[in-house]
Amino acid sequence: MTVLQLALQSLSARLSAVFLAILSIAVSVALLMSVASVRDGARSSFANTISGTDMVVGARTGGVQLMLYAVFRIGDATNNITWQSYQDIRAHPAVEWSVPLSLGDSHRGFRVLGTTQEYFERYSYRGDRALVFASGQRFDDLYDAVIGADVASALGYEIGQEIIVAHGIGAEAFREHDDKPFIVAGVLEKTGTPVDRTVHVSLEAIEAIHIDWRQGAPVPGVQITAEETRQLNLQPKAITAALVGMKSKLAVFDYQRFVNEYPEEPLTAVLPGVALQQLWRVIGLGEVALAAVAVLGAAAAPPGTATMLLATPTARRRELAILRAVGASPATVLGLLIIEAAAIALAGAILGAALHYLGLALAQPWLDEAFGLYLPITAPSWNELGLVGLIGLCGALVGLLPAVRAYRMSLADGIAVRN
Amino acid sequence: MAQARKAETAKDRAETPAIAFDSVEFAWPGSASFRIEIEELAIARGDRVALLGPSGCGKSTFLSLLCGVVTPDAGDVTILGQSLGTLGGPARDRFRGDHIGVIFQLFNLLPYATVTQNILLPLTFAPERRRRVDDPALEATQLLSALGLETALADAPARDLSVGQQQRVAVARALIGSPEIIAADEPTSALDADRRDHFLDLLFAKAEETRTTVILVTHDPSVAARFDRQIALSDVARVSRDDAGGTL
Repeated sequence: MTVLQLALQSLSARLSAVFLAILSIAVSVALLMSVASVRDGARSSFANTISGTDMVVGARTGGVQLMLYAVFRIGDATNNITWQSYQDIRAHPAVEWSVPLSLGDSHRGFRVLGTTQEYFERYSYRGDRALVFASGQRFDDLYDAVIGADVASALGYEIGQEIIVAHGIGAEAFREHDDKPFIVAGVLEKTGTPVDRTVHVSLEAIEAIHIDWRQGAPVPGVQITAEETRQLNLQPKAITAALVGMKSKLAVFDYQRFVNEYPEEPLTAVLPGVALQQLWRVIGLGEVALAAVAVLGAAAAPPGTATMLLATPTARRRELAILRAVGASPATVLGLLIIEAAAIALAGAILGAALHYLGLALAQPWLDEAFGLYLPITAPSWNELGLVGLIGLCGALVGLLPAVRAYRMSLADGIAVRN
Repeated sequence: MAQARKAETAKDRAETPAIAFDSVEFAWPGSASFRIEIEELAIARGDRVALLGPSGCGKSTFLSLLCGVVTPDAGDVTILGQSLGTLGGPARDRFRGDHIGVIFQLFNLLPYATVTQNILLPLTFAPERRRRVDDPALEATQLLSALGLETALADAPARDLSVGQQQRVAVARALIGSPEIIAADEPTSALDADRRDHFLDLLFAKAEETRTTVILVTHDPSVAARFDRQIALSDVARVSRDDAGGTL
């Protein structure tokens, strides 16, 4: 028998304790890999909140703030873009398409977005995923609304539901446009983007509900009914922001300069990818917390391993005494113990990776559907491999503690185990 | 040529004892309370010697010195003409593997390994004994039957054997590759009188064939009585302990 055979045979003789040790290492490896996977998935889901859009244009402001209110529907625009300016920036020869966004109203805590039908064609996320209707269709009538998946599930809305839009956002949203109710015409599939929490109506509808309002309040004594409004000119006077697609990516920076230096009105154009990265740096702190929790969890495994391996010292001492008696040197005995610890750590790392990928394969569709969190199944990165290697090494080192203890005892025992 | 080597070996046998202790002093590291001194002890090759003493008199320490697991603080242990003190640790381990077959009181076998694997274990660590065995598996089977064990047991895991069977497998392991010395530590204490006698018969018969020196430590005078020579450990060794709570 070679020393390697001996080590493996000895391990298989203590299978239950060894299996628990392997399992405990496997669980921490799986935990760390899963956390890394969720972190990467969250980051890439975030970075893929909006794709296919080359530029986001709004009134002069910071890039992060523009992304926050135009894409994430968080906070307010400081200023609007006049309809005239919008016509100018969309008329630029490098522009292939543009979709106006008009924000400012809400429905029971969800933002109401005024836009055009083209929005449903142009808005894409996670590469080239387009918005898909779970039921119904785009807004067609002036008072049609299309709601995101979270709106539908949170409020229990279905097609045909009547909804009242409130003026303003949050605590200010106490005045309601109750004279002009909307009907839900479509419900979107879950995307994992802010679209899920948005009520979409036409740009004209935004104009319509404010037709008899001035400066954020109904004009006293003036009331135009929903039906009368249909006859009026509903061309908006201003929008909040616009999504712009370029004919060529190469024109992006030229166009950005054109918008930023637009003489009639102070405007800002940002590249969504760049702004999203800046934004992630702000909210990415959660990533650190997640990693810290994972490391703590993983750190619990090696001591557990040691405990389990320490549980069989007497049998081990006898075993080592036999090996010493038949001529094995202390170095051989120590090598045997190192092989064992390394084998346990290696098996743990491999099992952990297998658990991780199995779990990922099982949970992937559900996570995507329930949370819009898409975790791609990819080969482990060098970072991950390094991490797994580190855990394996820690496991091996910790496994060595009981081994060295047994070894020292075997030296102190002399030729026979002294009972 | 073969004649000449045989003559030389015979001369060696005559001149150097199998085991010689000379002015040996030893204390276990870390326990200064226990101390053993052996002024002089010589055991000739081919002798069968029982070393008799009550438990705690230093028998295990004696065996550890004999096997070179520990080395004396002063004096010299010489085995087959080789002073153990002049060998380094690994060389001593190799020397023990090659020349001494050890039998413990109990727990001689790796419980998870098969009987044959246990018997062949020394050959992994003792190249000289390995060279003396042409066909290890065959040799193991022959030893098994010579020791009155069914050869069907060869592939059984050692843990499935009775204590008596295990002790006989331990003898087979000590004998394989014909080491010059067998050192046994109370190997019969777990056996009843009949099986003890049978065990000793087998051991002696095999040792006789290979002219192996047998040294056995025991506290049982009836076991010692079966040997050519009995030595009371207290006659050759002086043990001092300052403190009654010593580990031996």
